[in-house]
Amino acid sequence: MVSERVTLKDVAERVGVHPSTVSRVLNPATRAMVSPEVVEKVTKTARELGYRPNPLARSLKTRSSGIVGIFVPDLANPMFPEIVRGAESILVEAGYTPVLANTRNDRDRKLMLVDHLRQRQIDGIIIITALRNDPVMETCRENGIPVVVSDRGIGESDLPGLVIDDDHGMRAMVSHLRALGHRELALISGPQHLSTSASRHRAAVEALSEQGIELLPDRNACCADFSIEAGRKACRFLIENAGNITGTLTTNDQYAIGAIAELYAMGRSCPKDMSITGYNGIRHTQWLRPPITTIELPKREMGMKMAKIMLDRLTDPKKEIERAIIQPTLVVRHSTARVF
Amino acid sequence: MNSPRGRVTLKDIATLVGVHTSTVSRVLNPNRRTMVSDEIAERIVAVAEELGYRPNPLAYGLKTNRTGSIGVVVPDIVNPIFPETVQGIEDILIDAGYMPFLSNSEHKAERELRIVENMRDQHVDGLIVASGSPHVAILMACKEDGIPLVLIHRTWDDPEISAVSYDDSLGARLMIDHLISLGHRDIAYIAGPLDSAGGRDRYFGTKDAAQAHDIVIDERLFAFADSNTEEEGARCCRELILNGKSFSALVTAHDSLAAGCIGVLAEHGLSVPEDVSLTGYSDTLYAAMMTPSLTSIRVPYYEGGAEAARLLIDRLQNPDAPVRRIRISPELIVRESTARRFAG
Repeated sequence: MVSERVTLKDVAERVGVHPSTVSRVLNPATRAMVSPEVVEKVTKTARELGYRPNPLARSLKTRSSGIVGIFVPDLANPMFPEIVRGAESILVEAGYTPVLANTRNDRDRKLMLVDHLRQRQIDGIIIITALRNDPVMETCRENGIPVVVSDRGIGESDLPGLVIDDDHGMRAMVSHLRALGHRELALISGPQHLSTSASRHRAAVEALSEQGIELLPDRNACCADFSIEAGRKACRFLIENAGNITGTLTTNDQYAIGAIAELYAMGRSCPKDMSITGYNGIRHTQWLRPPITTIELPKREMGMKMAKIMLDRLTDPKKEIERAIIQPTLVVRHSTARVF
Repeated sequence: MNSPRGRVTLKDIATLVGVHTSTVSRVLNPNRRTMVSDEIAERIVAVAEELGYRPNPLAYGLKTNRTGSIGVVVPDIVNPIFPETVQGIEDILIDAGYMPFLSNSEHKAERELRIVENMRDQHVDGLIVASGSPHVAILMACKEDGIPLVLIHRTWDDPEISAVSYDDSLGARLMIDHLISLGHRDIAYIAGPLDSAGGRDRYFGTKDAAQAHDIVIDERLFAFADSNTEEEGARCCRELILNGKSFSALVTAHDSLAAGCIGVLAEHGLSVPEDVSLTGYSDTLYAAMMTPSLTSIRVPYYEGGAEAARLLIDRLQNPDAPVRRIRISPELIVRESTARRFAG
């Protein structure tokens, strides 16, 4: 084995191209400038020779590390790993290194993580967040780091990323319940200072009102976090305070899971005594008993789309900002039934 | 306070505190902080914060070969046991001033290898690899570069590698003992992937535990899942029912496998726990939410992750720290899905 360090020049000589071509090939952002045949030859030769760039030196020089950060609020929520997997698949294929940051929605942790990655000349950050003004976005703006965001309501942001059409989702769910004869409906929703929660809450209230149903204050339960436990408490509150409700809409599958468990613990059952619906479509909704009627978001596609928008921004920063609209779909299972 | 123009340097801080620049450097490097008295360390940190000092970890990395980043590789972020493990790792690392670099390998050896290569290129200070079957090449690569490595979820025969693992044989035995105490003797088993340490240890642990009670499980009562998913649980459950050998208890190697069984059992007119006692493993968040709630084996994944991070930090702060292998015991959580077998 050769003990000397293999250089860019060695690779270039072996392939018979200029070193700058090799450099272009090995930088994912400039790879498209070189023909696919040459790209293949260069990467193959680089691998054979055991060429490893020194990314620290490279980062100091080019201000690029090949790292794209993916910030998630809570990996323990089954919604997010699916999105992350979609984003990773595109980034890895394009030669970037995705690095996950699990922020637990903790402001200090977010700032520490983003600061550390910034100092490592991170190329861009995909931010999955429900906050209107995430501190990560501020840091990125100050430092010119490209961001792509998820989960904005329509008209809420001019950042590149996704817009989830919650109006469509909530309308589909309310129509489904109306078709089953439900009129006495309650709503369990999330912390109202968060963008996604507020926009879903508004979408639900509007969808109900379109069907001539007014959401009464004692049928409107807001949770402090996104946990199953919060859903349990909200369900108990509704049963004790909301009178004769036949159905409960939620803005998050966790709430539906908790609500069904609480109903069961109170000696009643879903859907016989109450229809309950989820939102997001995490995989557990399909397997719990009863399987849960929910609004499914195309999580993997959402991740892939965000990564593609990021790649576009990295290759051409001047490109027009893209905001892809995501259409959720109604999935009818057994947690909803006709009113007797 | 307005920050002064120009970049704040170590020297600025040293001058203000009245210590040597190298002392400041030591304090601001989490690996070496212990070499300085607490009082001075506190003063230096306070002044550094006041002045808005920010180290340049790249330049710093080239000089000291330290970057403050720790690579964390998990095989599957969708399996709920890994988010829990990751949280344990993160909490300890971040508290100690290290930044976790988290990557997901999707159970692909090729991708795992590429991630580790990338992390070496990024000059991480150490690696924590959570994997049921780590690639030998990774272990070799870390050795070659002298990167401290801690394995989690399995051990490796190499006595030089620190590891945190769980006693899955014990978990399997706790479950079998529980079912036997309820009068069950016709026990079926759905195993997880046997190429992972957990899948294998639970499978053999179950067989051994049954044997200890003089029960030899008929081969028609075994099914083997390719992954720990509900889909595979459903498929295996169907297979067991088709095999035609009746059972009063169905033990599975993972909560997700058990979740996939309930619907299939119901399709065949079997209810849990009246006709069949059903059990999971790992006690994920959803075990308690199932109807009926699932008897499972609780594994302290968060603690395991935290322990792995502590082992790695020990190695970073003291390269001569002994290699340690920690084995964590699980516990039985009894819920509604298991019941006494009815006579006849």
